[in-house]
Amino acid sequence: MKLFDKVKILVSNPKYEKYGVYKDMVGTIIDAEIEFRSFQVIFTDPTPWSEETWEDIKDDILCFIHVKDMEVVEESDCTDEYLLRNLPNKDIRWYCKVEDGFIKNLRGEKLNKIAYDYDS
Amino acid sequence: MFVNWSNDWIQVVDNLNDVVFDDNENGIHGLITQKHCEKCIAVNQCWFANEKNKKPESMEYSIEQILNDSKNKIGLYHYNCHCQEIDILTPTEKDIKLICPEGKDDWLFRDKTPWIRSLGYENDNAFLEYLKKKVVESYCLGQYEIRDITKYGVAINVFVNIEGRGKNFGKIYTAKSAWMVFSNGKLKCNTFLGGKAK
Repeated sequence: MKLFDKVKILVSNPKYEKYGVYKDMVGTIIDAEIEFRSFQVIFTDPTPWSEETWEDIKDDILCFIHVKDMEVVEESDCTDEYLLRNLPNKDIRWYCKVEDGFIKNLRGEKLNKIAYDYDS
Repeated sequence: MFVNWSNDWIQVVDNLNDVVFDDNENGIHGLITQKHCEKCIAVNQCWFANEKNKKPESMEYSIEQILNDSKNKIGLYHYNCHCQEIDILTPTEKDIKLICPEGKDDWLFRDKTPWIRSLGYENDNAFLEYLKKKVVESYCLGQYEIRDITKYGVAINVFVNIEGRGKNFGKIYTAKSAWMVFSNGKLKCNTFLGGKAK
């Protein structure tokens, strides 16, 4: 799980629903960095943008989603170099991907202690 | 030189706390709110137009609360809050620093190309620079609204007027551009085009 991956929401949670984000919705991770064990995810109206659809199209929804509350449905092709260029101050210590049950940074350091327990 | 101080813009300052949201060290380690409330960290040293919905709402204490909670000091956002609003000069465009990671450009062109083209533009660097300029102009004019204040920061929608081109020449399209307000005039891009203004 990383920048530009498409993700599906696995839970119903009032803290997401207040933004209009519901279980099974699919969005895209739009920030490289993980903050408070969450990625910022964008949910866009699939209606194509055009002059005709301008009035009807829904605004994008931006919401921070805890990594435990979503799963990847389509991986992006972002490389580690690309992730690094997108981290705040290009600081390699930022946590920026989820692999094998761990929240990791580009040095391979793990944030959670127990695999798949993302709050540990 | 005449300096035009006004109360059109304010900065939120907590003199007892120098931690700001965009402090890299704290962001990485997630300690940003330690001992402080999330809102006070998120807004610390940020600039806001001094109008409703464009700055953090202060706590409204009832007369009863004021009389009954004598042990607590009435603060700007909560009891014992040290934040203050101080007047600042209305920011000019050169005072604003945009933080736009490369991925934001890529996302704009990946997701909004049909929309960009429908307005008569190409998905190129010229449009990107045009949009950035519009964001800075609009923010300095106070053409934005606060969307959310959380532990992730102060999220705003900036309303940008995009002039139609080609067959849309003469039309103005007001779009929402989503940003985070960081300290001392910095704005970090969430997404360049996130919708339209109602």
